[in-house]
Amino acid sequence: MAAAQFEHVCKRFGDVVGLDDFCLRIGDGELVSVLGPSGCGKSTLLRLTAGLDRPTSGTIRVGDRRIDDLPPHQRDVAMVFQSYALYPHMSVRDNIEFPLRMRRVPSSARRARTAHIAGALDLIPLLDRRPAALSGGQRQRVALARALVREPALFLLDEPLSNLDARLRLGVRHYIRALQRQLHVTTIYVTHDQGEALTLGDHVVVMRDGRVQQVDTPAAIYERPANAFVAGFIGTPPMNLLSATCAGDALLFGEHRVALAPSHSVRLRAHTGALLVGVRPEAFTNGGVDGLEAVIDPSTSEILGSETLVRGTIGRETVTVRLPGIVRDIPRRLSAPLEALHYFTADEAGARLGDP
Amino acid sequence: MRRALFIGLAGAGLAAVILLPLGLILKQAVTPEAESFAWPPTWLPHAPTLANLRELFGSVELPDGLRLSLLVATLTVLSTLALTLPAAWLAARAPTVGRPLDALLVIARLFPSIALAVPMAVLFVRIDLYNSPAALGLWIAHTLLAVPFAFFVLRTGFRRIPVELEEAAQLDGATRLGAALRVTLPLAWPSLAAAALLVFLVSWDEFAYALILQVTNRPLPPLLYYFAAFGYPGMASAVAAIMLGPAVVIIILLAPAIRSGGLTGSGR
Repeated sequence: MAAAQFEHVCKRFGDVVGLDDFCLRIGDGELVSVLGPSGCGKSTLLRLTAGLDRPTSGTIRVGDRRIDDLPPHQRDVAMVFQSYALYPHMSVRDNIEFPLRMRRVPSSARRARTAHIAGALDLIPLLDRRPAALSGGQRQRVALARALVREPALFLLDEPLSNLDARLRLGVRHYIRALQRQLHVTTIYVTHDQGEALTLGDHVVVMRDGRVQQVDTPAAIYERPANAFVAGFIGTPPMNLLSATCAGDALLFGEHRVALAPSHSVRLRAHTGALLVGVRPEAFTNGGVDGLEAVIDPSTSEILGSETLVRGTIGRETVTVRLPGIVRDIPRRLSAPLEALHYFTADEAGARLGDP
Repeated sequence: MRRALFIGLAGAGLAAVILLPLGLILKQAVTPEAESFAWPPTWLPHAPTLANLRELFGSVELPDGLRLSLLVATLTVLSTLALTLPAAWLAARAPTVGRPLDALLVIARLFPSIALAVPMAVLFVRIDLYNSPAALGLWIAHTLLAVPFAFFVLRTGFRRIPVELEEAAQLDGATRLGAALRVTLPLAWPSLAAAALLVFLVSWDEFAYALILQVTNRPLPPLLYYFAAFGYPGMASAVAAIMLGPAVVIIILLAPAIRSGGLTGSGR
């Protein structure tokens, strides 16, 4: 149990940048989820933290110990691999006891700790089986038990749910969170699934191309995305991003003109010209509010039960709109209030604009 | 129905091809030397006899040759595995080491042993390993011969074992070497058995080095050759029959290990 700190950690593989100037502080007992598309550097981050790779530069500290130059077995970092990596020639009991044996824990203490963690993870009846005789969910619990039995200072999870079928996933997600809170173990949880990242993390790190895009609470990631990438990555369906031009007191979507309230035009004054306007699909309502109005094509509706998705246009831009529940009679016009709009620069960085 | 018949016939044909030479060896071993040269040749011995075997075991050459062949084959298995085990593991885990090693060992197999045997004999005469009573020179030659075979078998075996298992063991507190010894080595047991079997048979059957490097202390293959060359086909076949023994025993002992699927259960 300890806080963890990454300072300017870089990893290059030849010319390829795996991780670029990664800085992060994780509080004691906190769970940080790292989210991003494949190749964003999240697995590199785990391997550097575990000691399976060495950083090109930068430092990693756990507690008051600098660990980035230590071999894996001296780091006190545990990891659950995506493939679980259970030892197939050992029983479940021997798998769980392995880290304790390696640390020369006396056999009585070893038995007690194994029994304790096996009890917590419902593994007692399986202790004498080989991994080959277990189901996917059971193997996953053995992998968790093996990582947690020695009470590591830092706990790493690499897409631990990706090999489970959808039915099991939700249950195991709650289970991991409850276990992590109960053991109060500092945790890095890597995933490409935003649902997992947002529900599990105390903080969420969004990454892309080896660079951190935003570090924030799940609510802030959703409410105030730091740039156009995060905006377009988070949310199901993600935020609509529309090319527009800011002309003082109005936004122009091609010919279509949306008048801005004075407060907005003040905020955007410095950014006259091209920009990206973001609006979440769920921001649109039938309330006849004054704001960004979309012309809806009712023939595109997709009824998903808890929600209905439909497409519309604003000027020449297409937007996805999400209405709660089943909507059979779709209005021709829906609008989003101006307060629900996000503004980003139109360049590659897509930086967030105009916050008061 | 027709398919079953076809498979049956093909199987019988294959069995005949493999078993016919074995049958001939055994037949010849119990045929009196005089009858060996009868014309037309006989399919079964008219007067089966154990004289060939009796005479063989009565001689000095056979027990000495058997002892020498077993010694050299066993030592070759030990030295070859000791050399190739770490190399194959390294090659499987580090491609930068593996690729040049692959090339080197393929090149090593390009030279026929009969061509290498003569310069090797010259060298061994100088360092007093030529015709050594414990066949130390032959042991070295057989080790060099067997290294590529064992290396490729073991490397392929190590590659099948996921590297994550070793990484997991390192995070669980093992050193890199400890992870390889405690996790990878036990899982590599089937390929280890296969490599040992292969190396044993390479040495046990090897003729060219054995003929040239050992003149008076002869292992079994050159012994067989001398009996055949000097006109004793019955005695030669009796040696051949004896040589079949260890091969059959080893294959029966190791077959279950080679067939086992020791890796299931590590992943999802």
